[in-house]
Parts: sequence; C-alpha cells; structure tokens
Amino acid sequence: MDDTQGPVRGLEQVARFYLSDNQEDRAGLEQHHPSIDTLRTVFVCAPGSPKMRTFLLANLCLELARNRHPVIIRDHPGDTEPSLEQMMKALPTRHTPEGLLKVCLYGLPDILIKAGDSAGQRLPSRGEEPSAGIPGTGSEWFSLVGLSGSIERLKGMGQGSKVTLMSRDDPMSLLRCYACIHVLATSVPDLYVSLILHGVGDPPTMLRRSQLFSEIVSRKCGVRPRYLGSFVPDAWLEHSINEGKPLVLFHEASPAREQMITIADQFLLWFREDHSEARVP
Amino acid sequence: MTRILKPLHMTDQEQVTRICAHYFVAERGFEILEYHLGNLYTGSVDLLAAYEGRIYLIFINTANFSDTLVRSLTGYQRFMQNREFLARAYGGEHLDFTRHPVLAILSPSFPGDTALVVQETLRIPVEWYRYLLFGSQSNPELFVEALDREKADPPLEEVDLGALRTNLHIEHAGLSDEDILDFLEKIRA
Repeated sequence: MDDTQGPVRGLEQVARFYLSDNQEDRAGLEQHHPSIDTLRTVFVCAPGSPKMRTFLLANLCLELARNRHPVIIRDHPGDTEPSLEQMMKALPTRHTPEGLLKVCLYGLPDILIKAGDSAGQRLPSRGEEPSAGIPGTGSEWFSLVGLSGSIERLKGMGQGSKVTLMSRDDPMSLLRCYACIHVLATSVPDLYVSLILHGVGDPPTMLRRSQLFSEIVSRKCGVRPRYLGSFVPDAWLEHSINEGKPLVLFHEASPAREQMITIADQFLLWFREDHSEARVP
Repeated sequence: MTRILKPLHMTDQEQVTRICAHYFVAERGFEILEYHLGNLYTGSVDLLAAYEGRIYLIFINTANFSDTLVRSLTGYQRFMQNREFLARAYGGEHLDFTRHPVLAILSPSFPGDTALVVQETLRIPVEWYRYLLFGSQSNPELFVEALDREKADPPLEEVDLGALRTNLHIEHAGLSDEDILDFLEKIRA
C-alpha cells in the first residue's frame, strides 16, 4: 500500500464517523493497548459459511474501532475462501515490525490483523493471543478470533469464554449451530454464546426463530445464546466483498448495512450487560 | 417517494441462468458444479449445484412453464440414469451422489395447482422458487421467493440421520438420534 495515498483514502473512509451525533464517537483519540488480563477475546464462528465469518469479522472490527475499541483479529480462512486482507483491500494498510497488518484509518484506534495461520495450528487460549507484537497495556482492546465450523477444532479451542455464532436461519444450519454449542458447552467452562442469523427470511421471522433456538439450546446445553440480530444479504454484500471495502464503510444506506451496524451495537451491549442469565442452572 | 418497480421480461436463458446462479451462490451458499448440463434431447439441466453435500438440479423457466416442467423431469431422469458417470465427473468427497438430488424449479409464476400436484405425485424432493426481474436489460435486479421452503424438508421419519450427520459434518458432536430429531421437530414448529 502506498503510504502517501493511504491517509487520503482513510479520510474518505471514516468521514461518516465524524458526521455522527454520538459524542462518544469523538471523545479521545488516544490509543489503548491491551494487557493479558483486560483483553476481551471473542471467538467468531459461522458454521458452513466461512465467507460470512470473514465478512462479519471485517465489519465488526470497524464498528468496534468506531466505538473507540482497538482490535486485533486473527482468522483462518481456507485456501478458496476470501481472507480478511482481501475483504479490506480497499482500505489503507501497512505492516508493523511485528508482522501484523495494520489498518490505517485516520482518527480510529488500531485494527491489527494477524495473518492467517494454517488450519491445523493450535488455537490460542484465552489471554494468550495478543501477547506477541502489541506494545503497552490498557483496558479497551478486543481480540476477535475466527474459528472454522469444524467440530474437531471447537473441541481443541481451550478455555474461551465468549463465542459469537453466525448461522443461516434454516433448520439444518441451525442444527449444525446447535451441534457446535453442544460441543462447546461440554468442553469450555464459563461459556457465553451470542447468535446472529442471516438468510432470506424477514427479521421478525428470524427473531422468532432465534427465540425458539435459544429455548431449545438453553434446555439441552445449559447455555442461553444472546441474539444479536439478523442480517439479510443484499447486493451491497457482494459489492462490499468484491471491492474489498467493509459494508459499514459504505456511504450509501442499505438495509444490510444498517443491520450490520445494529449487530455491532448489540455485540458491545452483550459485553456490558449482566451475564447471570446466560447460564441456565 | 415510493419507487414503482416494473417487471423486466428477459428471455435470454443464458443471462437469466447466470443471474439466478448468483442468487444461489450468494444468498444460499450453493456451489455451482456445472452450467447447462446435457442438451435438448437428453434433457438440459440449467444448473447442477450442491448444497451441504446434496446435489441440486436447477431448472429455470423463462417462457413456457409446461415445457420447463417436462424438461426438468426429463433432465432428472437422465441424471439418475447417468449418476455414476456424473459422480466420477463432478464428485468430490463432500458431495453425496447416492441420495436423490433435489429438483428445483424457478419460474415467474406457477399455473393453477401445478406445484401442489407435482409435490404430491412425485416422490423425489422438489423445491419451488418464484422469481421476478426488475431494472433494465443491462442492469437487471432479481427477486427470488422460496415457496414452501420448510415443507420441502423431508418428514422427520424419512430423515437419514447418518447421512445428515455426514453432510453437516457433525458426526463427532455427540448428539444422539433423539437429540437431533427433537431439535428438528421443535425448530420446524
């Protein structure tokens, strides 16, 4: 990436952030850096839809950054799947001395991408992930780790407390999602799960289905997934992927973009709320 | 101000097929294995596709529904007759050619009770999609509605749980048959 052009494009990309009425968006541009104890690690998985997982990661990290949270992401796309770097190729980036890819959007906190490792590599334990290559300490960092939907990989993920699952809304996709939660619930202590649905159904229908899904899963697995919202893909999804520009950065309003922003807001609320009801006795 | 969309009549089968293929890939997560499989004499399949390991034969009506229906049945039969060869040609470990493929028909409309009659008389899985095109010939926009999508799922007693586990890659999840059937029964409710 040409450094001289990066900031110019960065200004354009983040223009809408500074047109926001939300004072919190504008407050403080200082960077925060994570310590092992304060980093918020979330595993993100879209069983059967690796492209949607990477798409979600790309958009989620930008919305977290807009809310003043620096982010480090690690994803494991397959050979034929688009990588995070491809999903964000229209954004100005540079490589850090530590070998991370840094998304350089003016005024936003750091977004660091750790290059995809081979699919067979061990997943990081909680708190282990950020220790390489990030200086300093702080309290606002998020670490997003992309997970494949492989049952075997979920079994080996170690202790991670929060998992976000994205699934299509049809019964078979939800069955696969249920299988993932079943495996996680038996192998991961203190598990908290959130759920995002995507598909061709209308949002109220997907909300009802998510409620049904949560009831079944909480009864069977002892974990009550928190529903973050629905996403109905439209033409802008393809534009976003083809152009390598995350959907939330588009100036044009579209239902899909609004849904993605709502999902990110709910994702943050999920962290701030009391999780006492998330585990079913 | 409300924007009034006017239907676009497009008869170029090649172009409509490409547009509909995009829907199945982008919206439904299908994998397209082949475009225009076969010919007029053997039955031409517009799209040979796969979803979660299952084979789909997709036919798209651009003019006459009756012709498309006959073409789809002929194409389906031809596929079954040549299944072993096609499995070698297109198969992979993730594709299950041993199960009956799903017959999917896209049409702007379905005359009378055709869909209902076919659904009740055929023992093969059939899915119906109504599609409409808008915009212009050079920049068409597509609307697709899956009809009776839930009912297209087989009855629970006919579900092959072994194949289901394999197709969904959940063999090692530790879910019992009762767990799966109970889940499907409740989530379909």
